[in-house]
Amino acid sequence: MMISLYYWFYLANPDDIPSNKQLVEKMNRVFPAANVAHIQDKIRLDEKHIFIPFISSKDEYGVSYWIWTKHKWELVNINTTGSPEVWNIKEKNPSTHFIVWNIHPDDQLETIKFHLLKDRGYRIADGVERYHPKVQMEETISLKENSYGAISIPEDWTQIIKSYRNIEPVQSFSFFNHYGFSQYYIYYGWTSYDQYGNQTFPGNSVNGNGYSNRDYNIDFMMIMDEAKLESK
Amino acid sequence: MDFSIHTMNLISLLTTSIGWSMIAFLVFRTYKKSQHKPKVWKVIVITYVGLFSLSIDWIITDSLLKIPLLPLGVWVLYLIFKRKQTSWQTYRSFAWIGFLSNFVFILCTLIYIPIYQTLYPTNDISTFVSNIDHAEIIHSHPSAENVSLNKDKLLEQLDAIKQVNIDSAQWYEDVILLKKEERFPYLLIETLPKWGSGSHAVIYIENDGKGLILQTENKQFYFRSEHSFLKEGNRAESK
Repeated sequence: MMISLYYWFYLANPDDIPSNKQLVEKMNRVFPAANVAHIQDKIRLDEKHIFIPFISSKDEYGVSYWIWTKHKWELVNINTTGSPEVWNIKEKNPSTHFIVWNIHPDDQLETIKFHLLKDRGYRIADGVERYHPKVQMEETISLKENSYGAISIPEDWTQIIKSYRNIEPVQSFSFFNHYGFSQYYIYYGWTSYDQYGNQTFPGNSVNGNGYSNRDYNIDFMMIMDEAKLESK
Repeated sequence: MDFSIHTMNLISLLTTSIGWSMIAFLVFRTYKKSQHKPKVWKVIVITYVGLFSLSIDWIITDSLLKIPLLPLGVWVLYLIFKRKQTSWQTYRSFAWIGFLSNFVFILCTLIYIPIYQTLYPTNDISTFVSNIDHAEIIHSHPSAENVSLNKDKLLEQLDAIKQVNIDSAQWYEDVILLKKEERFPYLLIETLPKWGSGSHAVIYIENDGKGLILQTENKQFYFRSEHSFLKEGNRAESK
């Protein structure tokens, strides 16, 4: 009995995704400021994780994250803007890390470039020298078809993250440590471009209101000036 | 962390196991000699608690030695059992074996260090890169050229690659002041360290294809080869 209850609660396969009407109701009940009016899509990242971009009655383009947990679809995060960020489904496995976004059409963006970055540095201490090479990799996506999207981080990026994780000291707290210098400090950035390829600041897609109810794992993506990036 | 047999530090595993076996042997011998046979699980708990001590940490060649000063665990057990003189008589030796275990671990570490350094010297690249069957390179900087890994060239030179000094400040200034390109725009991935060493490293490749920087958990090593082990074309991802 206990086992079957446990199974039902934690292990049983998810039900179908709720209807749009149910989703909208839930979102507006949990976070009324979202004013969700229209569901754009339901992107299943895996069996138990869904990314749902939406449009509000005030013409905002927002995002919501849903997890199948304790035998129901739980809304874990909702925000009225969708500037890109990385949702780590299984923190330890970079192949389950997804970049998700929903960009307002008024920003007139045509492409976004995502960047994986690590700063250059050097250190000389007690006669021992170290040099930390710059890492800068990019992935381009198009916003022509949809304002929103979700991609798993590129294979090359997962390889770098895995390599650094293998040499990580066992007691360190978080891999993506956003504070202080660390030789393991890898971070994400993004730059956005209009139809002529000029860098454009997406003013309508940042600084939204949000609500999140539990510890889902995300990594911040820093909006960047292209001048800060190194070129060939 | 990948816990496959190929990437584990077997020497550490082995010395730790020997340490625990020695302790188990001591406990077993004392148990056989003792007149009142206490419950086995109690013996294990008492020995384990006896292990706790106030200690000072001393790091020698990346290994942590915990030098015990005060037998805190033994004292705690003494306070608990002092009213029952008979059971304390029985348990006392196990508590002290626990404390003694700290010295067994120090001994193990002192045995481990020279063995490990002899088997896996850090000035030999094969400690970190011994199997390149599945090796690939990643273009980790925009200045990377359209090149791929020349496995044959790397394999044939592996014995001859020499450790040299890092010139970190110069390399840094080359990029920042002289506007040169990143010196290490590639990563070497999917290599295996020498069997049993557990010597993981993040490995960057120099833009002339002849140098490697190996970043381990807390050290960095720089190696140079005579010939380039990169070849033109076949960039992994085509954009």
